[in-house]
Parts: sequence; C-alpha cells; structure tokens
Amino acid sequence: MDDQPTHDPSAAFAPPPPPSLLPPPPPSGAIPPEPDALPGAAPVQVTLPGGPPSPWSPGAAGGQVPPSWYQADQSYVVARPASRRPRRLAAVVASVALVAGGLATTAVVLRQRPAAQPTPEAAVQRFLGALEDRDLLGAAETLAPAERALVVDLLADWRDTGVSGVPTDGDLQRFDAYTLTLDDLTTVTQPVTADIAVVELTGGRYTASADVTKLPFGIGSFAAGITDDLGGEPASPRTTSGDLADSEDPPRLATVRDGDGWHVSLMYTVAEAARLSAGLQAPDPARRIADKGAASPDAAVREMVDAGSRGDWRRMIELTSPGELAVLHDYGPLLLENAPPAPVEPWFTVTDLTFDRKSARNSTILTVKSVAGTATLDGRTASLKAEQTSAGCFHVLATMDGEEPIDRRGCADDGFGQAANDQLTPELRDQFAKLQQLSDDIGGIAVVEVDGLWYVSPVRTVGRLVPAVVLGIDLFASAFRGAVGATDDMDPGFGAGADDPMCFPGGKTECDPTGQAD
Amino acid sequence: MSRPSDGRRVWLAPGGAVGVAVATALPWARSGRRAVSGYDLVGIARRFALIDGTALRVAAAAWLCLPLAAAASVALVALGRPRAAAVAASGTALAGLLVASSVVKVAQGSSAIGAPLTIVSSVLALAGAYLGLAHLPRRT
Repeated sequence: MDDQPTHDPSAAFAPPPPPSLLPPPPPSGAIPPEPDALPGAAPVQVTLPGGPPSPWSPGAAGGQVPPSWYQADQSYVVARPASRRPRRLAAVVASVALVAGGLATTAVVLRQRPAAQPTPEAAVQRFLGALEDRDLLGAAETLAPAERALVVDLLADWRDTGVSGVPTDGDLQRFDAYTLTLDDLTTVTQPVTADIAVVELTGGRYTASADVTKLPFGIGSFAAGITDDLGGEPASPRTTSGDLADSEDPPRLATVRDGDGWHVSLMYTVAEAARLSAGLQAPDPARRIADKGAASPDAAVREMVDAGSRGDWRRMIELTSPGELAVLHDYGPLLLENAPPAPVEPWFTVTDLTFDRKSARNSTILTVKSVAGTATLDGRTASLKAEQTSAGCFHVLATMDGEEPIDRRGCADDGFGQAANDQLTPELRDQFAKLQQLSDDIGGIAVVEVDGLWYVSPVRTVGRLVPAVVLGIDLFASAFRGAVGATDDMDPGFGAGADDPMCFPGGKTECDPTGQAD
Repeated sequence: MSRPSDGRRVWLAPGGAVGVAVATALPWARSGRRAVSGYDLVGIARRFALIDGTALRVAAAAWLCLPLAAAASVALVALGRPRAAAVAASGTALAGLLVASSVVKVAQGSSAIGAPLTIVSSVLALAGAYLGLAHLPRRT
C-alpha cells in the first residue's frame, strides 16, 4: 500500500548553517515552524561562549526570530533529526499494547455468556436468574439447543404471518407481565441418566406476581377487554410469596447435557413430571428408540400414517424429529410398555396420499393434496377419497357398504361465506376472512431434515397453528364485544340484537327480567 | 510537506473507530431488565442459529473483531501509517454503520443508546478516513 507518514520532518529540519553563516533574518511572516511542532526532531541546545550578539537576538531590530531558535541566554537551539529511535520505539510499544488490548477485548467478547453451563445447578440458576430479570432472551438461551431453535423458528413463523399480538423486539424490552424474586435458593440435583438430571428447588423465599392483561399473543388485551366489557374491576397483579421449603411439591426443572454442557429443558421437565406422576422407572439410555427417518418429506408422513394405522408406536416415535422431540426417543420405551396393543388388522389402510409442499423456517410444510383409503367399521367397509381441486376447494367421495355414496364438491368457505354476508359486520367478516387465509397459510404437517433423513415434527405442526388461535381469540373477543357492547345507535355486530342471547349480568349490556338487552 | 493540521486530522478516523468499538459494547437493546450490547446481540444471534450462510458467519466473526480493528487503527497512526489507519477505521465504521442502522430500523422506539452512538461514531470515522485518504499526500 502506498502509505504516507504523517509528517516528513527531514525537509524542514535540515541542520541550520553555523551561526556565522546564518542568512539574514527572514522577513516578517516567513517564520520557520517551531521545532516542537515538528515531530521527529529534537531540539539541541548549543551555548556559544562569548559569541557576539546576533542581530536575531530578542529585542534586536526586527525581533522576528523564533525564541526556540535563539534563546534569551544566547544559547543557540539547533533542530536536528537526532535520535528518532526512542520516539519510534515508544510508538511501537504503544501500538503493540493497543493491539494486544484489542485482542484481549475480542477474546472477552468471544467468551461471554456461554449458553451451556458446567453443572445442572448452574444451568437452572442461570435460567431462574434470567426469569427474575424478565430476560426472556436469556431464559431462552439456557434452553437445550433444539428447544431454543424451535422457539426461534416458531416465533419467526408467527411473525411472518403478520398476526398482531406476536411479541416483537420492543415487547421484549417492555415485557412486564410478571415479577419474580428468589432469595437464598437451595437446590438438590437428582441424576436421571448420565445426560439427564433433575434440579429440585428445595428451599428459598420467593415472591411472584402476574398480570394477565400484559400477556403477549393478544391474550392480555383479550383478558383486559373481557374484564372491561363485563364492567369488572381492572385486573390487578396477583402476588404470592412463601418459602419453597414449605412446598409439598417443590418445583423441579430437568436439565440435559450436550457436548457443550448442561441446559434447561422444558420438554424433559414435562416428561420427568409425567414419569414421576405415573410412578415409572427412569429411562434406560441403552433402550433409547433410535432415530430412523424417511427418505423424503412425503415418505416421512406416509410412513407415519402407515405406522399409525397398524398401531406401530415404535415406528411412529422413530419418525419423530430427534431434535426437539429427543425426549420422546429417550422416554419412548416407557411409553411403549404402557401403550395399547397393536390391532390384529390395520385400523385403516391408506391407498393414496399426496402432498403439496411449502417451505418454512428450518422445516418443510406438507398440505394434503389427495387422500384415499379404506377402513372397516363394525364389519362394514368404508372408503374415502378426497382431493383438492383448487385452492381451498375439494372433491370428496365417501362410500360405505349398504349406504348411499356421498359425493361432494365445494370450497371451505362456501357455507360460511353465505352466513357471513348475512350476519356479520364488515369488520368481523374481514377478520373471518383473515382467519381463513391464515389457516390456509399455516396449516399443514411440518417435517424436518436431520442428517439427510426426514422426520415428522408434531411440535412444529401444532405450534404453527398458534397464530390461528390468536386470531381466533381476537375474533371471539371482537364478536363478544360486539355483542355485549352494542348500543341502539351502533351496528350491533355478530350475535347482538334485541333478542341477543349474549348478555351478561354486570356488563355494559345488562340482561333485564324480560330477557331483553338494554 | 504535511500541513500543521494533519496531526489532528489523522486522529479523527481512528478516534471514530474507537468510538464505534466502545459504542458496540454499550446497550443496544433490552430484554427485561438485562441490557444487551452489540456483542451480546451477535452472540444471541449465533446461539439462536439466526446466522446462516458463509457471508453472515464472516460478518459475525468480523463484528467480534471490531475492538481489534479499532486498536489497530490507532496503532497504525502511532506508527506513522495514517492512510492504513484510515482504511482500518473505514472497515470498522462501515461494519458499525451497517449493523447499527439495521438494528435501529428493526428495534424502533428502543431507548438503548449503543446503536445510535455507533452510527454517530461510524460517520465520524468515515469522515476522518475520507479526509485522511483524500487529503494526506501520498508518499513520494
């Protein structure tokens, strides 16, 4: 690189000629720069014994000589490029120190806040500490990686749907639906397997409060709206406190170990609670149900359906995603011991099953394009054939021995559309349309790829439906408000009218003795 | 021959770069009561598997090296290499500017000071780098 030093003192600081050869004083305004403004040159003081006063001396005519060149004690200051080495050395040392500091800072940055902890207790302590700070990000960070990824993927999917109520970055900052303080916490760790341990919170004072009206996903606003509509008091946070040592059933959190260390696991916490409740023995890692995926997304679902028809629970577990549902593979043998026996004959037979595919975050979503199958019910054979003819429209043909076949063509919103036009306000109609569209967007079976094989993900399949539930809640709340908040001069909305059955004592719309809403 | 003001001008770019490095360590967001710095954010993004692809991985790694780049920028000036320092400061500033402006856009309404301060420092560093590269004479 063509680099340029900041200063090039060599030209400006050539040693001046001997005093006797000094040129005439420079004219006013042409003063040479002062040596201390010119890095790289050190002034050297030379005393000239008995030398005649120079015409440049201070007070002499003209008086334009820089004092640093010729001082009052008549010593002559000579600037020379002498000894740049110490300064250069200082610069190098300072630079090395700076870079070392930068490296150290980078190293600190790289090492901060590891997600995994060295012990189960540390993982739980960090998880609870994050909860105390209402630090949802921090709490999620302590989760097992597969569960963490699941949370992120689902949140991203939900946000992509554009449904209101899904938490945003700002909500993380303002989240104050609860408070929690824990003091003098004591724990006991109970190993389950080499890689699973349960941490029991055996003691410590706690104070907790919750305000449901501040919950995300529209639940809070729904609760607040209902309370308001019913004319009730605004919900206030409910506070509870006590000592965990007094609890008959102390909280227990399961932790799992991966290559990095220990993480809190919500799935294993649920599984452990269920295992203890059922009085089952701890799972044996040697009997873990292996991950055996299918060759393609479609094949994974077909094989899952086929296994279900035969009551082959083991195969169904093999086909579930080994990441977020690793717990099912670990605890599967316990489930199999208590599962209903497989039928002698398959409950049903699927003869045709095709899908449309679409992509989601870290998963593929399959929606049924056509399905055909038979089943035996009370000795009679029934068959069903359904296919999607266009978006949202189906052709269904169902037959059963001794019955007239049912042959229907239609679209999902046909019946509803008629009713909507007649009974709903435009606002509610719009919301129902959104719900319909949302269901089309997010419905389907989620499959994930792990090491080249495909697995069904029931958690993602169900989790993706949450926005529809949110919108459904919102829709219900709107309808509810339309019903109980209607006034004579307002469009009453869904279900509201003179003979509205939806009236609530104490609400804005009172039920009078005649059954009429006021 | 350098002008007298060059001595101060050459420090603007590394000064801005240091400002970027410091600002990235300040709160960029909040999660409950926890302040999340720019480095925390990248760490969280990595742990949540939000950094996909080679380009993003390289960017994340480079982001964590901002303190080093800022220090290198200062060191280069001290060693009399202002043009190299300006280049190092430019890289630091560009990274800070891109990431911080994205975060400010996404986290609208956030009261965290880190990202806005990073933007200001980045602009200063870029201005300093421009002055340095455009006006400092090349070595002859």
